Amino acid sequence: MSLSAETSKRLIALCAYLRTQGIEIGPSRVIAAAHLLEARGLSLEGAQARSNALRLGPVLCRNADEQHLFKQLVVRWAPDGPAQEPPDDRSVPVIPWSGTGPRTLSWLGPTSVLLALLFLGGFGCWLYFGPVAAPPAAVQTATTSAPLVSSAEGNTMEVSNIRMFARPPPSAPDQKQGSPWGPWAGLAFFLVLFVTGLLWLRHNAFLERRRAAKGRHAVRLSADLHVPLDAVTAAMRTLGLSFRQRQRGFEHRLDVRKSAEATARHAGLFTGVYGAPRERRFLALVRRQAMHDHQAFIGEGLVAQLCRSGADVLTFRFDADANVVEPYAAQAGNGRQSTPHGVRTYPRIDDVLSANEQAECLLFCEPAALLDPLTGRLASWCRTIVDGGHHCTVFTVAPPHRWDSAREVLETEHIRVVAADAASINALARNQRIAAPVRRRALGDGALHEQYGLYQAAPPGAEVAAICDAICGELGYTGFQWVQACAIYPEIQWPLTNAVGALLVKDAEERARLLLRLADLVWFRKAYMPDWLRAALIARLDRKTGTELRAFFWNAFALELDELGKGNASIDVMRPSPLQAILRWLRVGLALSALAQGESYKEQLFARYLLGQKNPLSLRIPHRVMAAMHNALRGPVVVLASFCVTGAGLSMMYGAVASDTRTHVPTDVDAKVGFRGDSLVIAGIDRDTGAVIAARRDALTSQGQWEHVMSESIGTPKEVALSADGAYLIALEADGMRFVPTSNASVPLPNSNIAGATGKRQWLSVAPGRNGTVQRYLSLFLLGDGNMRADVADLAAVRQLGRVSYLLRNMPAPEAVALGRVDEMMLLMHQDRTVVLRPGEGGSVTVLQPENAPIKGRRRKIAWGRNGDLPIFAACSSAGTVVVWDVAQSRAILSHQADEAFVCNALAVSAGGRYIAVGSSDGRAILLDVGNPSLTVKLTDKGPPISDISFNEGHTQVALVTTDLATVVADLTPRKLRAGERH
Amino acid sequence: MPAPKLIDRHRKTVPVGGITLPAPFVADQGDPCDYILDDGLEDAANAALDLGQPLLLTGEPGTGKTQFAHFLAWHLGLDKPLEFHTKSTSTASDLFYSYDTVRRFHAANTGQPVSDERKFIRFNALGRAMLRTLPPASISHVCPPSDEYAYAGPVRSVVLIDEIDKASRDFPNDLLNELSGMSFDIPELGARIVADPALRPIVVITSNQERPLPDAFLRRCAFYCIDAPDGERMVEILARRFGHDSRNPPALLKSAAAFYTAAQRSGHRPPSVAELIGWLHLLLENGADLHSPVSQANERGIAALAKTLPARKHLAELLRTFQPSL
Repeated sequence: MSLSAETSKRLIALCAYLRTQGIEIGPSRVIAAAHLLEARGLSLEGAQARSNALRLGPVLCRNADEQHLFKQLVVRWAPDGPAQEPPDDRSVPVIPWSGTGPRTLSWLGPTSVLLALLFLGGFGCWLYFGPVAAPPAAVQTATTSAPLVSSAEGNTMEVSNIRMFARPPPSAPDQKQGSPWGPWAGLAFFLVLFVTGLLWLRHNAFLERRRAAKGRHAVRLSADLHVPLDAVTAAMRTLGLSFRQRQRGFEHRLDVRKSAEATARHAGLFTGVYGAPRERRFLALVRRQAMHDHQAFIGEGLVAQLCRSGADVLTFRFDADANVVEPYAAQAGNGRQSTPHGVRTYPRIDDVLSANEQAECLLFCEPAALLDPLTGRLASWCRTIVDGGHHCTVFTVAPPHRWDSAREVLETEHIRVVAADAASINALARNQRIAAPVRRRALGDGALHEQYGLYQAAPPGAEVAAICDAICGELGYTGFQWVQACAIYPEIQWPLTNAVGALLVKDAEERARLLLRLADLVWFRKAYMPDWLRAALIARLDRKTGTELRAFFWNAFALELDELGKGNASIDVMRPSPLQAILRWLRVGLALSALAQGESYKEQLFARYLLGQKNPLSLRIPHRVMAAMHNALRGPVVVLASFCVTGAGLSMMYGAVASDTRTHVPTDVDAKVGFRGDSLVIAGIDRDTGAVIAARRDALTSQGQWEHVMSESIGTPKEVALSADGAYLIALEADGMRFVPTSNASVPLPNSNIAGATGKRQWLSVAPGRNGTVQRYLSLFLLGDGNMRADVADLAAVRQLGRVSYLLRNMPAPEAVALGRVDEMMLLMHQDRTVVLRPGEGGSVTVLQPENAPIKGRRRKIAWGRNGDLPIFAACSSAGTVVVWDVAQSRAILSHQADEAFVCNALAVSAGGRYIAVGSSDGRAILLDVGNPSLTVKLTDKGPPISDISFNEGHTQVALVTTDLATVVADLTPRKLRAGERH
Repeated sequence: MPAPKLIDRHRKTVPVGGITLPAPFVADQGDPCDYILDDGLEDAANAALDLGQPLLLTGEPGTGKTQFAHFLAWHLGLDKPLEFHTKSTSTASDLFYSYDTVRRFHAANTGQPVSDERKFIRFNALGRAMLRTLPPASISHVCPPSDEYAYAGPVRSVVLIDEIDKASRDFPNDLLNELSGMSFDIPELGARIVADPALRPIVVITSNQERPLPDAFLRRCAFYCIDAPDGERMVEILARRFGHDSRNPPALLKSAAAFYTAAQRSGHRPPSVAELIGWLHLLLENGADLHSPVSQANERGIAALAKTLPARKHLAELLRTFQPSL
């Protein structure tokens, strides 16, 4: 049953009435109400109007107050009997939205009327004040017209002699005294006509469309208040409307001053003070999350455009936390650009703000980046900007449906959110209003923006197909081809994206439009695309485009990839000659065969694609085949000791954690390193900012990229540890613990270890169970009676809030604590000795002191390994001593003395207990072999302090991380030396 | 014959054989068929079902918001509602499933197999309701083989999201797409669950209005605020709750309803419906006469009604001066 026209009309009238009474009803609610009426076959006509209207309450009201008000208003709107419109409110118009409507010449007519009124007024005044003076007789007639009209003689008076606004001549002062109010009444009459005309024009929004052109005209309302002219006219329009709203008392009418101030805030986006032109300075803050963050590239491009326009811009980059920003030099072209002065290399935002008072901040990021993810309020750094009185505008390429909720919060702080496109920047450069963002089509499931699109595990095939369809629906087929082209190369790179875009999308404007939308996709924001999606996109490439792209990449190999983004991005695709094609085929074939086992799967896929194999990216090479190839290429396996003797058999891989992508490069991080399968994971506490950071590198080759897992402040982090399989990190805070999956969000847990500390001092140790040991936590308390209590809990006990406690009588305080298989034994390290506690029945503790190897200096680190049932453990000292004990034999099995400058900072024992890796505070690291104590392999030379060392599961690789998050991975795989490698 | 006092200040010895405590009386857990709808709630429920939107219920505590979900399930012939009790730490994904990261962490470190991620997944109310709209065979890749998730075939469910205002501000915002699309993702399994639109779960959300909900969320809900019942409806509620004819209720229940109405007018915190039922249960357990109106003699159980000191003083005074016109 469809809704009748009368009911539809009454529904709209009802909603308009409710809006005027303070119940905000949007279009979606009206549609829902119409749907409900239609579904239930209800009508708003006749005697049932009130009861049926009351049924709309659940869809028209948002809270209890509105619900109660709604009932009262519906009773007023439709009293018993036929529904009636409220007499006073029907005339209240719905405020039309204006500002971006098409410009027409419809304002000419009303404006002409207004001008005519002005002309009449001026003409009348000219008649009165001008040289054409009326004869005295006529003046006499006019000034005494009222008594004369009622008289019989008045009927004979000639109309042409009446001069209502004629001024008496100076020569007849006695006659002027007879009509003192005549001229003023006439002037007031025309003034009323003029104001009425003005209000009428405002009411019909004719002047609204002219507001942009009048934006710079300011009106002085008081000594310290200058507002733009359009703000005044808008206020007058609202004032006019409020007069027509009779239900409201005078106290609800417009406060002109407040309204003018509020309107001025909106009218002038970037200008804090009106009326006085001044030179404005902008602080452009671009958020860059990764090296190849496409959003950041676009933001920086727009900033460069702003600089070229001659604006005074200081340019900065920031990451998650903008308390510290990184200055950078935009490509200013022929414009001028200020360079920050008087600040540090990585200045704090408050320093920048205080050095640039009244500067306006332009933030190029997602609006949600300005909010605290936990509280939903403004982030502290952004609060600093707002409290400093700096006007803020957020430019984003994200579609509006992704920042609707954030915009509500930001607008309460007077932060505007606009689309980051060339029109906005041009408008800004022209000192005009920023254009409203164009609303884009929303994606229902958000699959193109969520982080799970980055997961390595492939979703079901249907979902992959749905994602491909969604990309095609979002960008169109041309844009989809662009994404497909970007998926061919193993990495998402800005110059490459530009180059293939120039190849596929010839129209520059269309390319720019597509690039804005493409950069919003999650894979381009993070500059990473998982292989499953790459394979799916490549499989959908049509033949012609595939051939073009293959030729393009062949040519790109001949160029330096970094050169692609410079100069003209258009690259001519030339078909190679047959000989060139054969030579290239051979070249790639040789490169493919030279790939080692540990190198990235991605590069192999790319190379195979270039060779033109059918559906190449879906081909996964079996591990056995790769192992066989590896053995065939590398020759027979040799033992580790032999190449340790040579000292040159280790292949090193260095990598810094995206140091050039971070606005704040940490220098003092208590970092941990671990392996997760074939990838490397690091985690640590940045002592400078107090944030827990973690990153993962998927491929242990020089081509791999670090992927930031998290970088957030979680209270007061005290210690961070990685789990044995690298899948989780544990952050120990002052009052709790947090488990953070290295691919997902964090999981806070109640802390059971720390509570109940009643002693004078307290040690906390999180000992991740590497090398097959069980994950345990240990807390030590020095009790007031001089004894010490150790509380031990594993993860299950944490969940059940249970623990194991030992009371250690007369035990001196340990310097550090290491832990291994707590149910069997526990290790304490003191200044002068090492003690192994072996708990027995009934809480008894057996103390073992394997002390037949002296240690020089203070003991710094302890690590455990497994050698049969009982562990071996190693300790190193501040004076370069490394001692390894075998608990079963209760004796030292290795003692190594380095030079005294070798202050041990990190220690690791391989799973079998054979290899010992030690790092020092001066950046040196060495590898020891328990089976051959005379051998020492130097891993690194001097540099930043080593923070942690770890072996992988098969102890074929050892990784170390320094306090500035640089990592080094040494491959321990036995191999022969290649020709040319030095011994 | 009233039951002997459990705590008796005059008794100086331990009772022989110990004390048997009665079963706890929970006023909120009445029979769903005894739930009494007012007109507005009926309209709101119909509107929510017609529009396929969640029904957001607010109102004073004890007005029957949670009970309505049970009534709705009973009234539509469905199973008991699947309940999600919101906590301050709840996130949107908790509504669908929870992933036991700690157990997986422990398993990984103790050498237990972790390849089957389904073992660490536990589906919660809305997630389970969406799963139940699908054939059991089609969800075996996400559900662990357990009796907990066993069901005969695709069914519709009622889901109760209780006290949504307890959660953080982002909780309702994060539900917008999932509630409208009735789908969710499980990144840990790489799976996506989409409910059968024909068996779309019916969602009832309650809120105590401790914090405002975002407009974007409200726009997608049908809303109703359950008001405190008037005297006539209160009599009907009490009569049904205690198994009497609502057309001829006993004097005790009628006077209690009048007392409730009088207490509502005071400036202090008024008792809720559930508290009034609990109080009457207490009176009846202590031998109150069903055919006598409430009076000053019933003041001893006032602790079940008044939860603040001023309210207690006020209700006691009201009880002393109360003259019901029956």
